[in-house]
Parts: sequence; structure tokens; C-alpha cells
Amino acid sequence: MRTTRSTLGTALLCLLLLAAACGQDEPAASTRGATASSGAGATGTTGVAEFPVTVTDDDGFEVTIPEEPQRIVTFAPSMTEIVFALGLGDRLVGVSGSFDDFPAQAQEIEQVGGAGEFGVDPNLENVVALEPDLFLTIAGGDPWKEQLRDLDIPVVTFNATDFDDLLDDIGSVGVVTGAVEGAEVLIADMAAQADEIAAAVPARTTCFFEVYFPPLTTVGPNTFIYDLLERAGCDPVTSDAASDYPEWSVDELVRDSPAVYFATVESAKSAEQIGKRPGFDGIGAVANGTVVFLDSDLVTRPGPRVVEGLAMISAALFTTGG
Amino acid sequence: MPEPILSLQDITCGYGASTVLHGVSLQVAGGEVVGLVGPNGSGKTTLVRVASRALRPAGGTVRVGGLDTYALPAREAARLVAVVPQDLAPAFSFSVLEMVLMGRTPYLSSFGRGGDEDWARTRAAMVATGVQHLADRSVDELSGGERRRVVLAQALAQDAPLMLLDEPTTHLDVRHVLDVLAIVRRLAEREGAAVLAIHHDLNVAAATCDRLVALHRGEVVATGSPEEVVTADLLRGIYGVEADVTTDVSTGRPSVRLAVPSEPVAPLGRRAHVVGGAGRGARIIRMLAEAGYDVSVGVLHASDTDANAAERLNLLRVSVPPFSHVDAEAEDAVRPLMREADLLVVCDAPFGPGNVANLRLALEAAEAGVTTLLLEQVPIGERDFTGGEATALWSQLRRRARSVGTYEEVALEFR
Amino acid sequence: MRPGGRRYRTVIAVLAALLLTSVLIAIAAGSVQISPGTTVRLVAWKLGLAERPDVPVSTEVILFQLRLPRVVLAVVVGLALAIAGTLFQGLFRNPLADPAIVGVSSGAALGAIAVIIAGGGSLLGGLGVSLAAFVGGMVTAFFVYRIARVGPAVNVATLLLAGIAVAAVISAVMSVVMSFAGEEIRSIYFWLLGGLSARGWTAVEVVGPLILLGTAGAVLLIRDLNLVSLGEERAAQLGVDVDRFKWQAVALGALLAGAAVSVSGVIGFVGLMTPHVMRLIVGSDHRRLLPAVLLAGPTFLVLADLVSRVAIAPQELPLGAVTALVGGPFFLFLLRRERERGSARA
Repeated sequence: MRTTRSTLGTALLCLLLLAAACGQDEPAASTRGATASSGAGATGTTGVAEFPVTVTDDDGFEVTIPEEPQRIVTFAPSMTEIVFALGLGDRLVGVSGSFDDFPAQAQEIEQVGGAGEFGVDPNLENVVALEPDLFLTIAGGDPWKEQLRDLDIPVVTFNATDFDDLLDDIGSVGVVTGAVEGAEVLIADMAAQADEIAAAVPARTTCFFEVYFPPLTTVGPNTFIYDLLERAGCDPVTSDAASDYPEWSVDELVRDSPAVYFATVESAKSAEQIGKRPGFDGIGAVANGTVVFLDSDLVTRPGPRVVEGLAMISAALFTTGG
Repeated sequence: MPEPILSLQDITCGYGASTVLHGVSLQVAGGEVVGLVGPNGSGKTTLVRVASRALRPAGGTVRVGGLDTYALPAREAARLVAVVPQDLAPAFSFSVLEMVLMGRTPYLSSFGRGGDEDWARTRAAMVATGVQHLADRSVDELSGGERRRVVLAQALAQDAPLMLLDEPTTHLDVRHVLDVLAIVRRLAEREGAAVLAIHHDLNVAAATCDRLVALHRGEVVATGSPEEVVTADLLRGIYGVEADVTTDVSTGRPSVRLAVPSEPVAPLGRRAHVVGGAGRGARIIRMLAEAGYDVSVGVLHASDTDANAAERLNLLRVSVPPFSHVDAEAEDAVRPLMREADLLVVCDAPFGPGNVANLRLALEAAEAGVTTLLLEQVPIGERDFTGGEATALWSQLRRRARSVGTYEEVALEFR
Repeated sequence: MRPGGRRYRTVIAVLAALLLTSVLIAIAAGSVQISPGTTVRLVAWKLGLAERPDVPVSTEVILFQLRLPRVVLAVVVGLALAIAGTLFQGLFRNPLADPAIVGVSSGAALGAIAVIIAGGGSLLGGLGVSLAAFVGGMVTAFFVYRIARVGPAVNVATLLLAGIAVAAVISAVMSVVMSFAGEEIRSIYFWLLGGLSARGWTAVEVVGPLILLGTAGAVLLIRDLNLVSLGEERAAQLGVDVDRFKWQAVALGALLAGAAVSVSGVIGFVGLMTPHVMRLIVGSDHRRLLPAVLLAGPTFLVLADLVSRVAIAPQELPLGAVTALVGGPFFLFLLRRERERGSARA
């Protein structure tokens, strides 16, 4: 027993020593202090990007980028699209996964997602192996973001709440990537297109946007998609929704009787299928076939292609005689 | 009078709403082996649990070696009281040596492997119970008897002045019963331990204990020496059985023979008289009684086996003192019994001068017309101790009576 | 197996070697390929035994900032769960007890969740969550124990049912509690699934000492565990303060399970399988069992985590799923064997 205990003790001690020896280099925490920052949305400044820059991201962290990033990792398809739209595709070294499908070149880039309990976290080893100097992502995943920051990788989170916020975010992406000019151009372009679409709206058309079924889930007024719907000329019947992705009752929908029923391939297979759902034939738009399938990539990814989404929605309203 | 090691005073206790013990008092002195007897549900196990610190009584005091065990920490109490449960059901198996060593727990520290004293006591306990050759065997491989002895050894190793045993001999064969009881006896005599054991078997209890305490419905109904406690009255009173309590010739202790309760027989309304002696008539007497006859017996000598049988069956009997002759008084008493019997059975008992009168009387009755059966498993020649008189009478009886050679034939006669 | 026997020493040596090897393999293997040679050289360098090999900084970071803390965490969590399982199996005198089955893990999770939602997530640097998990686990353990006791015996069927019932109730309570949660919802779901990703060194620093404390306590209970296996009444007759033992066992079990849950969520079967398998190899004497469990538990979880990390890299398999895939069938097999043997043992 004595022999066993001492063997055991030594083994445990060795393990602990190993852990102690290796663990205690606390890396310098990412700067969260007060560097003179230009804040988010430094789109007003024209001209050349200056490094280092400090921004406050949408998670509330002040992030300092020391030099113009050459190895960018995006962890959201929307971010991927933005980075490519800014002409920085060749600096992109990592994307989240198979959903990063636009543009086509994005599919060639190494995928670092799929880890974590839900399979939606980045595999930190792969990320570190890429030696990124900028990590762009959207909201969510605080634990691994903290880990990345501990490892001195700048993590910048964007969370576009509506179209205008998206334009701000694009501007910030331009700041942190050094593509300020490119961002300004893109923003101007997108704003112009959106204005054009909005101007062409004759009158408001009631509509309903289905996110998922079952249960019938739709969008509330504080969501990005809702903002797009409004800009494109919709008057969504879910304006009084209490939460962002509420469940909606079919009966209420029958009463509201939206003129246009929007869906995506993620929520339903076809208009006929929607029509076959119990109670749905009572909805005017469904009964008379005014069901429009939108490309969800164009309306759910807060990125450069949302203007195409706006166009799609708007076109739908016109052709259905809204 | 030395201070008793175990002193239970006025113990009242129960489980939940029901009270099992009502003011029970009991003492056990050092060197004494006390047996606790009583029917199922009388509270024996409860009382022992109270004494072993497993069940706090609602009323009364528990003292071991003068100390209130319930006020002591478990460790100290375990040095005073050792319990030998009915059996061990270990969840995990240990070796015999480890098991017995566990008995030293009250003396070992948390990590202590045990000092010389502990090992010595463990060894001694194993030797005393004869399990030292099983030291490395796993307990669950042992037979029931061996396991029981290991449990006993574990308790012995505790070195406690009080030992409580719960039915130490149940499920053991005869050999092991003797072993266990001998060990317990030695413990009491040599170490001066106080022993309290629950016994179901009254004969074992009576034979092995110095004193008995009988419980009935949670109260002490008898306490004293085995002879004082084990009586037919007690057995009838608390067990509800009829029994024959005799004093064992060799040990001087009471010995219980249970009467097998026979079904009440509808009386036939017929009378039978049996002439027996030296045990030759007992079976006939029983057969006739079971068949419903109103049986009388005589003339017998008082301590004759047949007389005992008749007494047990509460039959009418005529007897004379042992070794005396059948006198005129006896003859007068038995004559009408013979004459008025519907059936007279004369068994093949030995006849000597003291009881040859029975044959004379039987002949009279037979000549008077009473249906007579003669049982002749053994020829009269071998049973005649009268110098020929018995043989002559027997031959005459033969002419008046039916002779039968076996008990079965007797049975056929009166069925 | 006899005390100090040669066979036992061999088993322990093998287990220790297995643990060490598993740790080394787990450090060396991962989503990103690092050759064993590089691993060894880097480790040697960190221990001050060699020069720093010429590898990119990222490799060093991956090894020492990502993998090593994760492996060390797997070691301590595996240790905690295995020892907690041993304690509960000794306390309930049944080899089917385990912190998850007994409902302790759920209770610990509830405690952790309550604290997170109340905003105390970073209280005491994360220690607040661990302590809340400990309290939650302890309360649950007592509750289940009281329900399962029928007189002096603990009925196995009742124990399992009580554990399931309590876990179900806790699950319902958690749903209610979570409806008050805002953004913490995702962190909360992660307790339920169980895993070791993205915890870092802070997690080790927070729960490591607690787990070592709990393990030390369990070692002190070895003798009582042995005696109580004879039955509570018998143990008391031999001088064990049974009530005090029960408190201690439950408290330590809850501490260990709670610490593990607070950092890695609910991981099942480690606490069930490790002591049981070790018991089949070294026997039931806790003096021999505990050291074996101490080595086997970490090994099991390190290897399970390794599988979860590399099987479909860069994606990960949920750790709870890996332990369940191995543990589930084993548990069913155990249950069958218990039924064939017949009856609960008191």
C-alpha cells in the first residue's frame, strides 16, 4: 500500500507540475483599455486607413488591430460576403463552413467550424494554426471568443440590427481591414440601390414572412428581415409581435389576411405544401396562390446582397399587384 | 453481587405508532449466558436492537458497563457491545482475515493498519472459532456454517464485555450448533463476558443458558433458571402448544417434546381397556384413542412408560407404586373397567409377580364375555417371569380371546 | 486480490502508464496535426530540458494554450466524476449508482444555471458557479437518498426511479428558470450537453483545487466505505458513526460532481463505469479500488475527449455522446446482470 501510494503521489505530482509549468504564461490580454478610438462606424473619415486602429465592436469590446490584417478569418457567411465584396478575398484564410458559399471562391477556403457542443463553434486549434490577425464574426459564442482574445487574436463582432446598421458595420469592417475606400464605395452603392427600391414603392402591401414551420415562426419588428420587408414596401402583419422570432397562430393570420405570403425553401417545399397545411387555406394569400419564395441567403445574411433581396421582395409586391 | 454488565430498565419502545416493548427490564452479569425466548413478535429482536444501540427506546435506560451507550460515540460503544447478527450479507466480498480484522474497527485509527495487539486479537478470534485455515478465502465462497463462525470471530475480535447474539444456531447443522455454543460458553467463562442470545429452539436455550428470560407481547413473563422457565404452562401460555416437559436425564436440564396436535376425534361411544406395561401398550392406547374409543388403562406401575402415555392423553388409569404388587384396591378399581369395556386388549408385556394379577383379571373378563384381543408379537414364554403362572393364564386366555400378531391386525379388529 | 499483492501493484502500474500515455497522446493529437516528435520536444522545452524547437508560435499556442488545458481539465473532471461515482456506489451500496443517475448532476446543473441567470456567472472568478453547483448537487443527493431509503435498506429500483424522477422535475424547473434567461440561454444549454471545449486554464484553476480537495476527502473515507458495505446497522455495531459518514460521503460526492458539472456540464457514465470496471479487476476493497479509480477515471475521459476531438475533425462529437455510446450499452449490460443475480442488496 505504501508503494502504491507513493507511486500514485509521484504521478499526480508530475502531472500537476506539467500543468503548472505549461499553463501559467498568461498571455497579454487584448487591449481593452482606452486607446483613442474612433468608435464604430468611422465611415465619415475619408482616405487611407491608419493602423493601429481601435474599434468598439457590437459585443462592447474595444479591439485594437495593430497592423493591416493579411490573414482574415470570417465566422459567418455574411462576413465572408462582405470581405469578398471589399475585394479582400485573397486575404481570407478561414471561413466557418459549408454555408460560406458565396462567392464561389469562398468554397475553396479552409473551414474551421463544427466544434463545440452544438457544432457551431470554431475549432480553436484550426483557427490558431491559421495564424489569423483578424477574426470577424457575428453575435454569439462568448466562451470561445474569450479564448481567442486570450490567445491574442483580435475578435470583432458585428450584429446588424437593420439596414442602416449594416451599412455602419460594413464601414467598420472597412476600418479594421484597411479597406476604408472600398467600404465607402460599397456603402454608397448599397444605399443608392435601397433608396431606389424604396422610392418605387407605390403603396404599402401587407405581407407575412414565414421563417419556419412547424411551429409557424415569423419575424418581429426588431429584426433585420423585418426592416428589409419595410424598406421594400411591405407592411408586415407582425408589427405588434412581442419578440424577435415569435410563433404566430394560423387563425390570427387568417384574420390579418396579408396580401403576400413570403416563405423560403428552409421553411416549406412549395406553395402547394403550404396550402395543404391545416387551416392555411383560410389565408387569403395562400388560397389564391400569392406565395412567394425568397432566396433566404439574400434576406437573412446581413451582407452586400441584401439589396438583391430588397429587389426580390419589391418585385414580388409588384407582380402580385400589391 | 457484581454490577451487571448489561442493564435494561423499564424499556418501552416501538416502531412508528405501535409499541413493541412495554416496560421490559433485564440484566446480564459478567460470565452469564442469558437466553431470550418467546414467540414471534414478542419483541426479542427489538429488545436486542435496543441493547445494541440500534434503536433508541422511548422510555427506560440502557446501560452497558455502567455507561449509557446512547450517549457515547459509536466507536466507544462498539468497544462495549459486540453483536453477532443472524448472517452477514456483504455487498462486496472480503477475505475472512479482513472480515475478522474489521472487528477491531473500534480500536483502529482512520488509516491504521492495526498494531500487534489488533493482529493478536484477530488471530485469537479466528483460532477460537476455528476459521484460521480460511484466512485468505473470500467470504462469499464459504458455507453457511463457516460464514456464521466468521461473523462470530468478527464479534469476538471486538473484545467487548457484552455480546449479543441473534438466533446463533438457526440454519446451522447439529455439529455447528454445538461449536458455536461452546465458543460462546468459553467466552463467558474465561473472559467474563456477559452474553445475551435470542433462541427460537427452546431445547437449545434450556440446555445452554444459565438463565432464561421469556417475552410475550413485549413483556417479561418469566425469568429464572431453565427449569423454572421452561414449563408446560409457559409453553401453553405463550406459544399455545401442548408439550411434554421432562428433565433430561444426563444434563438435568428441561427437555421439551411437543405433542403433535391431533385432530379432535368424534367419540365412538365405545369403551376399550388396555392391559399393558413396559411400553408395550403405548401404541395400542394411542390407536384406540385416535379411533375414538374411550380408553382406560391398567393396572400399571406409576412410572411406567404406558402410564406416561395415558397421562399425556388424559386417560383413565389405574396404577400402583413402582415395584409394588397389584393390590386388592387396584383390582377392585380395574375390574369394572374391564367388565364394562366393549373391547379388551391384552398386550404382550412382560409379566412378573407384581402384575400377573392383570392376566387373572383379564381372564375373568374374557370368561364373562368381553371381546378380548391378545397381542402376541413376543411369545409368552419369553415374557413369563412368574415361573409358569403367566403362561398358564395366557393359554387359558387364548381359548377365550382372539390372538393377533401385529399392531396392524389389532387395528383391523376394531375398525 | 490480496493487500499489496504483486498482481495489484502490476495493475496499478499499468493504469498509471495508461494514464500517462493517454495524456501524451491526447496532447499530441488533435484537429491540427502536430507530430509526436514536435510535441515531445516542445514539452521538454517547457520543462526546461531542451531548446525550443523551430516551430511556429501557433503550434506552441495550440499545444499549451488549447490542448494542454483541455487535457488537464479532462483529467480532473474524469477524476471528479469517477471518485464521485465510487462514493455514491459505496453510500448506496449498489454498483448502479452514479452522479447522473442519482440526479446529483442535474441538481448541480440547476444550481449553476440559477447563478448564471442571476448574473453571478463571474462571481469569484467562476467559483460562484462551482459552489452553486455544489449546493444544488448536495440538496438533490439528500433528497434522492431519503426517497430511496426504505427502513435500513436502499431499494435499487426506487433509487433509480427516484433519480429519474428528480432529474425530470429538475429539468422542468430548469425550463421555467430558463424562460427568465436572456442571452445566457446558450451558455445554459451547454451545461446540459456537457463538453470540454473552449474552457481554458481558468476552468482548471477554478475547479482543480476543489476536485483535489474532494479526492483527498474521499481517500479519508476509505475505511468507512468498506465497513458500510456490510450494511449500515452492522457498520454502526462495529463502531462507525454512520450518520456522519453519510453526510461526508454525500457532501464529497456533491462537491466533486458539482465541480465537474460547473465546468463541463452533465457528462454521464464516467461515474458509473469507472468504479464498476475497476471493481471487477481489483476487487471491492476500497483501499485498492480508490487508487485504481483515481487513475482510470481520468484515462477514460481523456480518451473519450480525444475521440470527440479527432473523430470528425474539425468538427467535434459531443463528449456526453461519446461517453454515452460506450457507457449506455455497458449500463444495460450491468442492469441485466444485476437482475439475473436477483434483488437489491442492503
